[in-house]
Amino acid sequence: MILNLLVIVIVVLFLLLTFGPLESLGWWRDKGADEAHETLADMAAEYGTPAADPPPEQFVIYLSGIGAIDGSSVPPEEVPLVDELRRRLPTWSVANDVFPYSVSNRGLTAQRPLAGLWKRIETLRIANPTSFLPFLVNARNAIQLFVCADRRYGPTYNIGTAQEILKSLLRHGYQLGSGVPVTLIGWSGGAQIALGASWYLGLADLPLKVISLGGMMSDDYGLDKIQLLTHLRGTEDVFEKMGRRIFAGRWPGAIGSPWSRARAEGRIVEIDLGPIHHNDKEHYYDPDTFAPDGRSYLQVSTDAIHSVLIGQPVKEIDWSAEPKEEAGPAPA
Amino acid sequence: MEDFLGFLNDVGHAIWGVWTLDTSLGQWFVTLPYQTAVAVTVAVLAGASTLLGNSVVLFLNRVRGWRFGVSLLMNGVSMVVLYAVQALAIDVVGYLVTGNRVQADIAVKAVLLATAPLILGFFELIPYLGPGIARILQAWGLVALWAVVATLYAVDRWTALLITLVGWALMQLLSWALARPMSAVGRWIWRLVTGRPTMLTAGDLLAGHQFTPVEFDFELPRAGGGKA
Repeated sequence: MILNLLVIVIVVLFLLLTFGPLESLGWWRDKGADEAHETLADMAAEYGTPAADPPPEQFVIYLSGIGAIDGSSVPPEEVPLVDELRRRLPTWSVANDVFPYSVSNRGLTAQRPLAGLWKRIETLRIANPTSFLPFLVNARNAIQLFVCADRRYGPTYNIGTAQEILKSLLRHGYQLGSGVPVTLIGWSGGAQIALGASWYLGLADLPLKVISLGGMMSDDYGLDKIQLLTHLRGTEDVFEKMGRRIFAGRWPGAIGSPWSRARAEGRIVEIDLGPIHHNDKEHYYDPDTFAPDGRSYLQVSTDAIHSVLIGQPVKEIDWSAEPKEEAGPAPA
Repeated sequence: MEDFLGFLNDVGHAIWGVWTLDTSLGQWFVTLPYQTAVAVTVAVLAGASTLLGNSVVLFLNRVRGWRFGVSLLMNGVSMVVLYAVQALAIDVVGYLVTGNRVQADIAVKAVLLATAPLILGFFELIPYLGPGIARILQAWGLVALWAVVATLYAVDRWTALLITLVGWALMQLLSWALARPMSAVGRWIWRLVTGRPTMLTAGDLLAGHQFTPVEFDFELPRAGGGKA
């Protein structure tokens, strides 16, 4: 009985994995290539056009983890971090309107065959965040992460997400050709999507940096196009560790891989934040667990990202020290 | 209708027998009234499934509709031809090694059956793991061919392995020698079926290098002229 169930689960999983790439491939075949043409024509027309208002100092795009349902429906715990960055950087543009797990920025609840299912799951997640069903969202988006990382599918997938990131930048007043820096913050799977899109964003001459928060990333060719990848990780983060193991191009002996190349050139900085987990509890967005210096894990993550953005060193924590009194609620 | 269902049942039985390397499959197979149809169906399914696994090539080259289906079918047919040639190579090597001559049509049918593991070739679509799965299936196919050769010539496993490997190497040599004309014919058939010139091939994708699947330049002009 258990064996039969296991076989059924494995078969279903294989079939889901098998059909995972078809969305982005079908998009490319039916309209993606034409859309890419149009986007390029639009961008060429706008290139060098001065912005009407004073543009933001820098541009930041936050790409959510695999729990996202669309650009606006991210797991609730992620919201305070983005809000806090906006509060601390009032002259910057901080956007989170790109859904990283769709080539056309089409959220799961948009016009899709399974939109009804995803809407129900979204409702359920709001009512009961610990329920099992929302993990279907994670599973679906995790497959897209691997589509992005796959050398065969990545190029078309990444054209789609790069387009959406470019559109978002333009919506928020980015002036092509201005040389204003752009930073992509990728949480978990969002880090892989950020790297994938970077290949094409780099071709468009954007000065680009990527910040990974617990990112599960491959040795994507996008690494060749970015100035710096800052990888913030928790020492108890199993998914971040899994990324290091399953993507062979990140292994120490992977000579010549984009990851090894970027490391050798000093374009990858890895910073341990402390014994932070990926999710469930004591995770990067946890406002209720505190480091010995009194900051919540959410504050630790927020401060680290903020420091990297403004070019300051990330504050080190003496994890062997006695915990201080709780510092109060997390920034929000 | 019953005949057709019986045929499907026999195809299924043959596939399972090869998958499990069932040594009694040969005795069962020779009693079948429509051996050729079963063997060809297995090989066509294997070919179509293999191309489905590689269908990223069709998607990236924007092949759709009936052309997509015909491309799959053509791959199935080309696999039948390829393995028929492989069978003839094995037939020659088998004769040289054992001194026994097996009828060519029997050798062809046996070798076509050995393609059964490639029926799972569509799993190559799986992101990231797909290319690894394809290699496993190829190895499984070679082991199946080894088992088929052992049954066909009624020889011990090492003699069968020798025949299989020499036959396989002969095919590789033939493929290398005929690569250019075969490629030209392949491109001609591709244009005929898909209506498009070849933009990206499976080789381009499996090379593992970054490629840009667009016909145009993604780069934007620099402010001072020139390209970014």
